[in-house]
Amino acid sequence: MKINFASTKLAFFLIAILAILIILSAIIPQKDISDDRIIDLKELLGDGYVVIEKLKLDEIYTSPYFFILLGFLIINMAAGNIRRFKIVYKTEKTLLKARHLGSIIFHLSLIFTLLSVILNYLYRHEVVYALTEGQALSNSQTSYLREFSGPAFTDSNVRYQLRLVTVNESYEIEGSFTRAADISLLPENNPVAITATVLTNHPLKWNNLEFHIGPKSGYSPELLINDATGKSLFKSFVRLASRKIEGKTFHYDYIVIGETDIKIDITVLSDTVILDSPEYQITVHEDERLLCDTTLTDKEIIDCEDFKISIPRLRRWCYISAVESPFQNWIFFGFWIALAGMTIGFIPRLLENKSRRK
Amino acid sequence: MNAIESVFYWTTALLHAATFFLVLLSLVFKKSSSFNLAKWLFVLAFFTLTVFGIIRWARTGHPPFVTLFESMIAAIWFTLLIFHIARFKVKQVPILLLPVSFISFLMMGWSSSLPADASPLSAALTNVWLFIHASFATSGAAAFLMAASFSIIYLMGKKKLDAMEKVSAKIPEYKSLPKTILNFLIFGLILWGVMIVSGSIWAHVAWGRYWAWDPIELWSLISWLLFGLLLHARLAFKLSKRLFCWLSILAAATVVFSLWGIQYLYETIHSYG
Repeated sequence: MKINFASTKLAFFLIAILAILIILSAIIPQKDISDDRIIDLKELLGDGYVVIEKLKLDEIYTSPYFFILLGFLIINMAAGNIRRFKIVYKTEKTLLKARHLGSIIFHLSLIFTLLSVILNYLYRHEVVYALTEGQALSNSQTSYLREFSGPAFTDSNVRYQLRLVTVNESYEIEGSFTRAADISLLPENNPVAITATVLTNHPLKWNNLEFHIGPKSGYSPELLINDATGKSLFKSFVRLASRKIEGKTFHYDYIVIGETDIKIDITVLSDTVILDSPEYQITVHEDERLLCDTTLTDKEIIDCEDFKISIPRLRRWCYISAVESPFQNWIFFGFWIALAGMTIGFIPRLLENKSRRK
Repeated sequence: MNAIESVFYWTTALLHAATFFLVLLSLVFKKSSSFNLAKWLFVLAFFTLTVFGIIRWARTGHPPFVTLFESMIAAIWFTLLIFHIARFKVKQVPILLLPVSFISFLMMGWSSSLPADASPLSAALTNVWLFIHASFATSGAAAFLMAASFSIIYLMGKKKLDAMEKVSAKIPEYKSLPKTILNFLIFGLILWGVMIVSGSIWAHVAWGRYWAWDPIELWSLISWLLFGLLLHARLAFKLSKRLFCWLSILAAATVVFSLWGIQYLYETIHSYG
């Protein structure tokens, strides 16, 4: 079967497949984007989820067929426009009429944009860290929340040590909410650390990388659990999730200790936490059995059957992401020019209508 | 919403209801006087909604695009703005009063069910790109709603349109309607495209990701692709004009869903303040 790569019908089918894939990705949760929903869907479908995995429907945007589709779209747009403008040039002896010019600018810019998207995917690097104040990357194996590096990315430029110094959140007088993180960055082979404040909308730019503060932050109490003999069972800062319910923010999470069945729920009780004297609600379960349910301040140690529980310190945590996105401005540029092309092509349509009315 | 805002908001809602009621009345009883009165009431509705927006902007310190409620009000305002501008330029437009007043009346009703409080802006929202992004989202939606309104008129059929001549002196030429619909679609596509790219720039500045595959981003892109698909289908398959009108209404529905419907189904980073 001979495929006419320049045909508008093919363009229609390719755009339709692209739209269908994107609709599917809106329905089926995608890896690294909506992991919570993936767990729910796996529970719902059971063994049926294998079909989704085999067809890579849970990672559509990184699957080979998605890039093949983009490739076909690029070829189709290029071939279609060459054919169209050959015909236009033959009949009108110019391509400079606004209507044709607008169309050619639009389609060429879209090709440029799609190529930039592919290049950016290949060379992009992004790491999201969830860090507690005082924590450096080397302190914890769990500080990497998500890491993505494109297949063509080389990490020669991005060796560094990062430490989160403090997180500050405040409401300005006019009501705006700001979030800032002081970070300390130690480039490899450089004994002098860079310290900087990273604010939302104001990233730190360093050596092709941008450091951003993430959209979420919260509290991180230091939880100490000892057994009756005084032996330490758990000692770590626990990152609490923040949830807004009816305008009030709640900081809550739970942990399960080691390989035991001990589950500890921690809730910060005060709505506006004063870091100097926080109060917590602690609930401890072993299997389904309630061991204790009590309040706790930073000065207290509670006895809960065979355990002694205390929270001596409270800190904050936030997300810090390090991003290298080398072709991103190409994408924006291509898209702006495409829209300009669309506008150039649109104006003669309006003028044509106007002259017809006259 | 404070007391003064409430007065202007509910006056606008009442004016919308009155406009739609009068247009229906004029069509049923073939009274051009009711139709002319409806046109003036709709101008007044635009005026009161503008005053509402200004008062709210002055009180909150930011353009009223941020919350779900505000974005819907902004889309109504842009729809009315495009309608009134087009009224002076395109003779076909006054007859659109029927679908436009109906759609904006429905949206006023929907907005009344949404929380109208103005919460403090989160850090990510204190960015000029937000206002570019949100204003193009709402104006793009308005252009698509205008296209959908023209489609409704076309789908009513030539006979019904001709019958309207008794109530409005300026009746569009029936066969020219699809071209006008197409113009509004292309206009909407340009505005919607600016919305997507400005949103990407804003997301990058705020969070370091220009595209996060968030449900609202996805559905905005789906809407953009559907309109692109519609334009290509028209060229490739010579769609019938009626089918073209039905599909443009369907595509406009995806725009409404991406802007305001998604909140009911998905968790999204577009938390609107």
